[in-house]
Order: sequence, then structure tokens, then C-alpha cells
Amino acid sequence: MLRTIKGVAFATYKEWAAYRSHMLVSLFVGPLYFLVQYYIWSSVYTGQDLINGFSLIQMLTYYGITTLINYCIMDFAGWNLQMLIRTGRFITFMLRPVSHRLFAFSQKIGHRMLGFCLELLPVYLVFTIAFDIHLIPANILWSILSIFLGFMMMFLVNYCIGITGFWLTRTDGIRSIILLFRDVFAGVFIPLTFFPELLQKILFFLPFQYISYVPVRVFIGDYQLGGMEFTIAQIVGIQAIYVIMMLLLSELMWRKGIKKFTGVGA
Amino acid sequence: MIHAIKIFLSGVKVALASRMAYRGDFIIRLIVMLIGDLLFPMITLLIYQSGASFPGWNLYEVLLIQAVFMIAKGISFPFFYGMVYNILNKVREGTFDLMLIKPCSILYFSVVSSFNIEYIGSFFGGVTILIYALANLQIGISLISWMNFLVLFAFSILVLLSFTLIMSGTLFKWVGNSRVYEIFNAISTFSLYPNTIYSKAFQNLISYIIPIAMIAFYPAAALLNRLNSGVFYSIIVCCLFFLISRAFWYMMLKNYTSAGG
Repeated sequence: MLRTIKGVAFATYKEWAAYRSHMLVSLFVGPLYFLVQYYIWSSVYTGQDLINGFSLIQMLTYYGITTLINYCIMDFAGWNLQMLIRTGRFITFMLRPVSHRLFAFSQKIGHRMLGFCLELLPVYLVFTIAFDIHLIPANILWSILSIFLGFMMMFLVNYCIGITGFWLTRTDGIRSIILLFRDVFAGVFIPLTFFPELLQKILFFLPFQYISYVPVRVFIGDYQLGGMEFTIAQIVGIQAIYVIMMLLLSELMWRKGIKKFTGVGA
Repeated sequence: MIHAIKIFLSGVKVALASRMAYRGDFIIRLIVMLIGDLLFPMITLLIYQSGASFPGWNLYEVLLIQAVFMIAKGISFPFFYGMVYNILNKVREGTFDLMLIKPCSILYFSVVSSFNIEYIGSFFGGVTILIYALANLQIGISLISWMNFLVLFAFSILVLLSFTLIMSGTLFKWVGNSRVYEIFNAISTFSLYPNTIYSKAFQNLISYIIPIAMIAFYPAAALLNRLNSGVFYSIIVCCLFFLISRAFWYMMLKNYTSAGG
């Protein structure tokens, strides 16, 4: 299995390295989005020290870490799978002696390895030098573990969305709507503590916060949502349980969906 | 002129027919576009609900700016924004040649063959928020303010067209880079908030060099009677920006090699 992961990841790395200029767009887009947040929150914090438990520095740190973590976990497995199903090209994977999920996961590893070099590291430097935001994890080991679990969660959520392609001819619409909710409820646009308390409690039980919000809070060093507070070890443990549940769900969906595949495309 | 309208109508007809082949997906996409655009008003609402605010701007004034952005998007995007996706695909496949041999202006044909009804959701969402914001602002808007708004709104559409030309022009050289959308999305975000939250230098940049503020801030400011004399310079910059982007598009077209990528 490790040989497969290594082989596919390396091939994907080389394939995407040919399009490295596409990835370098992040050098422009990431800091630009951050600049918007910088102006918004600097203005909003005028005359206020704390908003929803965040100081201005903590808020900017939140957005900085969210940007960097998204470079770590970004994923296109769902789009890829539904495209393969829709075009009928998925048939070739039925003949391969490797599960498509493992193949797609290995592709993601290769893709993000390149992203780490071309997106995360340069943008980290921009944040540090240009914005004077020092992104240092409260506990490096818990942070790495939580980011890895976020990496898995992102993959599994997207993969499940891709599996819906077995039932739906075109999943662009449904995929877009789920992706939008995923990002909103993962705390990408605004910390989840800004949402009404009841919604925060509901969000705790959905898988989305484990993609980005939990890794970000673990990075910062404390966790709270909907009035609930957990230690870092507890929330990472809960995150791991959710990843296992999502893995089981993807397996279940896969077994149901594969029976629908006809190989003719649409 | 009649010939041009006929081409436009056939472009619309073909685009609608092809999109309606997957009606369910179309309706979902329409809703997604609308919800996606509501994201920024939602963030604004959450900020104000938490007791914070943009100094000097109440919630409804900020929502008004964001509503104008959505309306501008909802009008302009169905008509020409689709050309970015169209050119991206055709250049990548090397099939843009088919556009070049048509007996009409290549730029015009690129625009009319890219009609995309999906973005119309932004228009209705924007109008709804505009009405909501105006109802809560309870300010009397004079006829002059509405006239100013309409004039500036026309320049807002011109700026969006200019960005579309720059983005699609880039794709003749930067083959297949779907991330040009992200660049535009990031840049246009600056137009969603009051100009005064930015530093003075940055305000000048987005008003007099790259007229992003014209997309939503200036038209909304016209309705709120908050226009300053700088808007006249910004109008001139908008015209120059359009001429430059148009020239850029034709310059980049010369880089098309038919080779795909």
C-alpha cells in the first residue's frame, strides 16, 4: 500500500509541477484576501478590544492560519471522481488492482506536497514579513495531528460528494452547494463563534468544523464552540472519531454507488 | 446593428437550450450562485450582531454596497463573464480557431457566445437586499441621486467588462489556468466594503488606478448622498481602464497558437 501511495503521489507531484505557475497564483490571492480581512477587522476593532472572545491580533492570526491550513488540506477528489463517472472514464479504475479511494488519496498527497512548497511556505513568509503575523502553533505535535485529520476529513467529505455522481448525472450544482456550506460551516470565512449559539451547537455535530475550524483552534491552543470547551487532546480525539465515521460512510456510499455504475457515461 | 442583435439572440438561444438539458442542475446552480453571493451580507450581519461595526457606517449602508455589487454582477455576468470560461476551454482544446473564422468581430462573438443565465440569481438577490436596506435606512432618495446611481452603475458594468477582458485575454497566453477567477474574486472583494475602512493610499489605488471602488462603492454612495468630488476622476479612470483592457485583449489574442495546452 505504501508503495502505491508513494508512486501515485510522486507521479501527481511531477504532473502538477508542470503547472506550477497555476499554483503560484496563491502567492497573489492568499495575501490579497488576507489584506481585505486585515482592513475589515482593523476597522471593526476600532474602540473595541474583544469581539466574541477574539482580540484583533487573534482574529488576524485566525485568518492567517485558516489560509495556511487550507493550503495543506485543499482537495479536488470529489470533482475528479464525478468527472470520471460522468464521462465513463471511471471504467479504467474498475480494472486496476488498487482501490480508487486510495488512488485519489495518494494523488492528494502528491498535489499537496507541491502545494506545501509553492503555496504554503511562500505565503507563510509573506504573512510573517509583510503583515508581521507570527504563526507559531501552541503545540506543534497536536497541531500536526489535527491538520492531518483535517486533511483526511476534507478528502473524505469531498470524496463522498464525488460518489453522488453514481446517482446524479451532473453533480456540479449539488457539489457547489455542499462545498459552500462546507466552507461556511468549517469557519473559513468567519470564526464559528460568530454564529448564533444554537447553530454553533448544531455545527459541533456536523463534520465540517473538523476540516478547518478544529485544526485552527488546536493551532491557537484552545477550543470552544456553542458554549462547550474541550482540551486540545479531547477535541483532537473527537476529530479522529469523526474521521473514522466519515471513512465508514464513504465506504457505505461507495458500495451502494458502485452498483449503479454502467460505464457508459452521460 | 440588426445583424449584431441577431447574433446575440442566437447566442442566448443556444446557451439557454444547452443549459436546460440539465434543468435540475441548473436550478441548483442558480440557488448556489445566490447563496454564494449572500455570504458577504451574512458576514456583515454577523459582525454587526456581535456589537461591532464599520466606523461611520450602519448595517444597512454596508448591505446597500453589497447589494449593488450583487446587482452589477447579476446584470453583467450573464452577458459577458462566461467568455472567460469559454475562452479558457477553447484555448486549452485548441478549438478557438473556430471563433476566428466567423464573419464578425472576434471580441463581439466571444461575448455573445458566452451567455450564461446562471448568474441571474445574483441580480434577484441583490435587488431583494437593496429593497431591504433602503426600507430600513428610511432616507429619502432624490431623483438626482437615482440618476447619479444609474450613471455610476453603468461605469460599474464597464469595470466588470474590463476585468473580464483582462482575465480572458490572459488565458491566450496562460493556457488553461482556471485560477484567474480567484484573482478576480480576491480583487473585487475590496469593492464590497466602505472605502473608508482602507488606508488613504489604498483608497486612491482602488479609486484612481484600478477602479475597483466603482463596482459597488461609488454607485451605492450616490444613493446615500456620500459622493465626493473624486468620483469624476474615477469615471475617467474607468474609461481608460476599459480602453487599456480592450487593447490588452487584442494584444493577447495575437499570442494564440492553436496548439492547446
